[in-house]
Amino acid sequence: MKIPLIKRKILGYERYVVTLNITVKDLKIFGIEALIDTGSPHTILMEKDLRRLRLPYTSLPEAKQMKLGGYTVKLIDIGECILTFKDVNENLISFKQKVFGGYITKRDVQHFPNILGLDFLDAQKLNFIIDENGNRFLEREK
Amino acid sequence: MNKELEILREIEKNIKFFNERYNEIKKKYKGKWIVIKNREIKLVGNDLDEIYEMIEKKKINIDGALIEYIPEKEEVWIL
Repeated sequence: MKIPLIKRKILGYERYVVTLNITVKDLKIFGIEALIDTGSPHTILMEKDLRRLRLPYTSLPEAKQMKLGGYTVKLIDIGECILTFKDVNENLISFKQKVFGGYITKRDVQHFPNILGLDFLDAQKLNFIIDENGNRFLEREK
Repeated sequence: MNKELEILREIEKNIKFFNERYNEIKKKYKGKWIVIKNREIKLVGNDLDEIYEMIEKKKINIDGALIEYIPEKEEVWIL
């Protein structure tokens, strides 16, 4: 099973993102992207897409804080979610994953991307691979 | 067609649109927030609050839309 990644400029550099849908309880967010970040211990839905849930997230209890790019990100626990991806054969694949909502109170840094962290890659045994043509994928260990 | 699959294709097309026109978009919209939907720049705002206000007011379905900030200057962030 291979999930294709897309290279695009994010935060000043060409990085790899994956597109996905996310279901949080009975709410669905369709068609977002997340940065593959093996340096992050958590999977985080950041403010620019967290708002799609219409939750009063700044008044929800803070689960923990994390430093990201030198800024403190406040994390709220939005629980176990369903993440749905499209594989190279255009089949949908879904995974359960604990996801945090994240926001930075400094208003000029609301543009951080969603993060697919090491927690997800480890739990699903997905590797970040490159093929002979230079295309990148997430692939499950056989 | 399956709606979920269709929307995943849509966000990919919007990312591709953004990639292909990155320099042009950067020049025109620096310091702004934009929303790309159906391979068009549908909304431009000064901040995220303004963007979501416009989305609400115009009742725009943002499934598969790319919401993006165009920085004023090129800075490489290390995460």
